[in-house]
Amino acid sequence: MNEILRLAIRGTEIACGISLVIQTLEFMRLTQAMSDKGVWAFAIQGGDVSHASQPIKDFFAFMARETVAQAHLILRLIACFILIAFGSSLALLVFLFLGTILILARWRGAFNGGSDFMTIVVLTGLLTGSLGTALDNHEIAWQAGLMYIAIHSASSYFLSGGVKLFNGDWRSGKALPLFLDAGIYGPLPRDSMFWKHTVAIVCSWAFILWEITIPLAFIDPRLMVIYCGIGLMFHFLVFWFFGLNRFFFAWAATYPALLFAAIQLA
Amino acid sequence: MSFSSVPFWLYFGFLLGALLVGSRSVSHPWLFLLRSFFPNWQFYHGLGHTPRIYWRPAPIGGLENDKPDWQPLLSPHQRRLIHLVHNPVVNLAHAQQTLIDQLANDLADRSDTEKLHEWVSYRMVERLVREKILEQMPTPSAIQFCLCLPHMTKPVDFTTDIALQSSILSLNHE
Repeated sequence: MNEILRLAIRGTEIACGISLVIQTLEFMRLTQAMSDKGVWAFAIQGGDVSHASQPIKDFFAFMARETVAQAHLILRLIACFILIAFGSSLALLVFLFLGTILILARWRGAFNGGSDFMTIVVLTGLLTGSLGTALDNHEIAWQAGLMYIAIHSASSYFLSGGVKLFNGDWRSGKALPLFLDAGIYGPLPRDSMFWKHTVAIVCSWAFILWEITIPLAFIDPRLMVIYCGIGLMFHFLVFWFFGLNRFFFAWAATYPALLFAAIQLA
Repeated sequence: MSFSSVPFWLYFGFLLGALLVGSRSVSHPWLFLLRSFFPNWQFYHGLGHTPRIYWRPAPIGGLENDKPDWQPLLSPHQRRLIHLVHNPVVNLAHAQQTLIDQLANDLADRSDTEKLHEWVSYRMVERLVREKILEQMPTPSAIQFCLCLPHMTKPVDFTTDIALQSSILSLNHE
């Protein structure tokens, strides 16, 4: 296996492991919401699987038991540390992948929107590679897995920028302060610079252009390095203004694959 | 990048075209639970209606004029740098808002509104309301909540924006 591929796999494993550790520790703090008296009590949320067959309902009910759910999270945390320290294996990734699906189903399909989607994408890419290793065709499988992650990551930026580009409120700078004003940290202060039209329009266009130009970053891996650097700053701002910390780590976990893809395409 | 990268550029061209053409939505209970497999990556795409829950203590007399003002159920959170690596409370608040969005979606999409009180989304939101208000009120009482759909560009108007108004709920029991 060539050195670049090996580094990209290891980088993805470590970054994905860190992202999963952060998510798992947060889930461990939220078991109250899943308890019998919580909002996500299975007595109510179990209605989401009312259409399923009895064995599937029983399985979800078993996994929703407080002790089982807690044991699952502890095992998941251990699996994350193994992923970071020793790298992936098929069994480890099957466990993390299926565990993620179960956890998200318990949160009605998604807990934190885009970060859940990207976590699934990265785990799918790693699972593809690990499956290839198990079938003794590992190099092609790992390349396919990393390309899968890179395509989704690039598409996420491109589509996110594209919808803003085709939206008049974003182009005019009107949307940005209103989204910030509706954020989880409360209304934007009246004297915030984002209410100034010039600032709002410059920031909006900076985001739109940065997101939609990602295909150009594949022309040269050095451009991709710069793109990923700006990406980290962008996701930090998303965390700071919207409280979406998981997005920072979920997308950072795709950057080794983006760099790998840029090197392959260059 | 070489000429062999044509499929690469075609792919991004296709994505751009798909954005212009738009898409149809498909729904199924399993697709809802497994929607993480079908990301659309369209974040904060446009200004629209933002579902919000408001509540008020139940009026004693029941007369409209005596009813107290509606107040927001979810309050803003404190921003801290440490939340970058550990942010359970704010992420739970995001999940609670998602629940409210799901109830608004159900109201728009489902035809069986006569069974509203049996919907998973309604029952969870009702429980959320109870939980939040019990945190704020020392002595449980009776309350009423509503789901409003104000547009992001305007302040909430309770005469036009209420999509759903609950009956009087006793907080002493469910």
